[in-house]
Amino acid sequence: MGLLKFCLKRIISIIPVLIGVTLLTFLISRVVVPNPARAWAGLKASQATVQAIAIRYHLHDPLYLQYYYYLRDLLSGDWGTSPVNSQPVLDNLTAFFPATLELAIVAIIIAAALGIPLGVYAAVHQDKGIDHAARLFSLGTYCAPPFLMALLMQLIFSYWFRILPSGGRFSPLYPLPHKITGLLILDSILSGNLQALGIALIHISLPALSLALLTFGLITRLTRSSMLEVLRQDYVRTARAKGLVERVVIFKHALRNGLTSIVTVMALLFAFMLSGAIVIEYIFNWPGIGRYAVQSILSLDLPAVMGTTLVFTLIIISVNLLADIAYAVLDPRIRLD
Amino acid sequence: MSLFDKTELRLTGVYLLRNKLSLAGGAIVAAYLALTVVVTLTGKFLLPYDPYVQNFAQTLLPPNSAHFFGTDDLGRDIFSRVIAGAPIEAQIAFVVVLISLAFGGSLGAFAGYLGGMAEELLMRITDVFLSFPALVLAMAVAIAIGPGLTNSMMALLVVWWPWYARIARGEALAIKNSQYMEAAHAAGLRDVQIVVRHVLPNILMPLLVYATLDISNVILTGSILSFIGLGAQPPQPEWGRMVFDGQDYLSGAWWMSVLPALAIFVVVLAFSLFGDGLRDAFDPKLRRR
Repeated sequence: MGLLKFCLKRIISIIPVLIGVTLLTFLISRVVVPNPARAWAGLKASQATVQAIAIRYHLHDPLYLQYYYYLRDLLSGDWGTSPVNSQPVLDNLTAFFPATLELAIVAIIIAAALGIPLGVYAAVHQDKGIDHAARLFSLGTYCAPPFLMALLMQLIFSYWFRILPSGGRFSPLYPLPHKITGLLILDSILSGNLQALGIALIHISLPALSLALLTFGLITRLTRSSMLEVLRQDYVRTARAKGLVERVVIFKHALRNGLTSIVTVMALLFAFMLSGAIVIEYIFNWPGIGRYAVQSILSLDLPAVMGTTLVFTLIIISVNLLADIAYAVLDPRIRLD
Repeated sequence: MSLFDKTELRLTGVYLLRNKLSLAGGAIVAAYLALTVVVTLTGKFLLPYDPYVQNFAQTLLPPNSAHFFGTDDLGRDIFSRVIAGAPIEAQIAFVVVLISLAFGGSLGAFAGYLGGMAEELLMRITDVFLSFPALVLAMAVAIAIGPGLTNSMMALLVVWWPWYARIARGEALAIKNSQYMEAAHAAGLRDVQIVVRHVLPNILMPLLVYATLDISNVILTGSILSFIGLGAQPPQPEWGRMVFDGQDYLSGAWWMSVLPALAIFVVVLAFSLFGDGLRDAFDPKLRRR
């Protein structure tokens, strides 16, 4: 099977999943909720508003019709209006998205930069002291609740040593960099604004580090086990027999293959990271979708929470799709089945 | 193998170390469960302070000999609250894991055994559930049915059962063509009887091992739900909620949030270590990894 055909087949296969996912979010927001009109209008809304919402979202129609309208609204960009701030949910989500994206990218870079070398090191020194220390450390970070990580970071670096800000994305005392992508670090670099770059980096460091530590354990464990697999292969033995330096064998021959299997679990990593981001963004007052989700929950804002749920799930489904395609590019054997 | 085979000795040592970690985890799990039982039976009786009584003369005291974990913004003893909250986490974990195991497990066993449309349908349904990040789906269900301890458990159940259905289906598929199944067929047993008497008992062990490992995941996710306000409501001494209430006071009174968070961490880590060891013991193939 060619790569193109594989991609097409894979893309078509997510259509039933998307239908299922929207059906489930529909059921949660229209059937599981005891009084959908009231929930969508807001707890303080007048009877007239509740009536208007019921008509606007066709809440008196049979369920299959309601689902049709629900899908039509989703596709046309009407994800409901937040009863709390009276703004369209989709506008809020797009406004908060860049901050979450930036945080996730920086966190994944940190986690990979720390976790992959440690995983390789642990695999090469399998069953030695360092391997056990790495295992315990990564299990520890895997088991730590995200708020513990974030609170400790904040306590140590912001309150005890006072070297990093305890929250926010940028200093209110300085002008923001010229908006190009919405990612502050990238925008600062693109517009050559070094001062803004410094401020953005200082602000992102603690939340990104907390988030990175959460996924760090997972990356280390995955790298270790896939390296153990690869290091036993014949071609690694051949490379050694050729008289190559061990460093070259490990990093050029083994790691390159070991890393392809990590691609397959990217979706898992992202899901883990987004869940962590919900708590970490809230604690660091990071203006992303995670903080938006918590604030919406605290104010019982159903449309906003359902919007967040859908966005997070769509991200995971897309990451999964991209990971599968990337894997097929890296390893042609996958396309055969 | 000679007695002084170095590799073998080293391996034995490694297993011992690995077991030690799991044993330590098991010991903490046992202590935690014992504490849960004692607190559930005796209530506030054995606690140093009443976990609900406010004392405005003693707010935000740092940890000291009278208050091991300090006091909170309302002057309540945090140590007593952490101990009183221990059964809540255990309750969430066991209710969610056991019901998921029973419901998802039997659904998966039937689907795997019957095959065909039933199996296909169940797999597609679990696909949908598993497309959601667990916490996010639980969050959506919990907000829809309203915050609270029971509701947060229901929300977790909605998210948790598909995993068990998948594992049970896989295990049922693996034993489907074995001879004793054929014999059961030949003996004229009906499908339901075969699944209940032969499939379920044979796939129970791998499910239970998975469940042990899974308890830590449930506690972790449950505590996050409580942290974001969807679990037990104040003044109940639920750990995640205590962390949330304490985080505003972090700069001046770190013990209010950090100590309950550490309690969650210790319990989650203990269940993980214990579950890991249990899985390794049941699957020799995993021992080398």
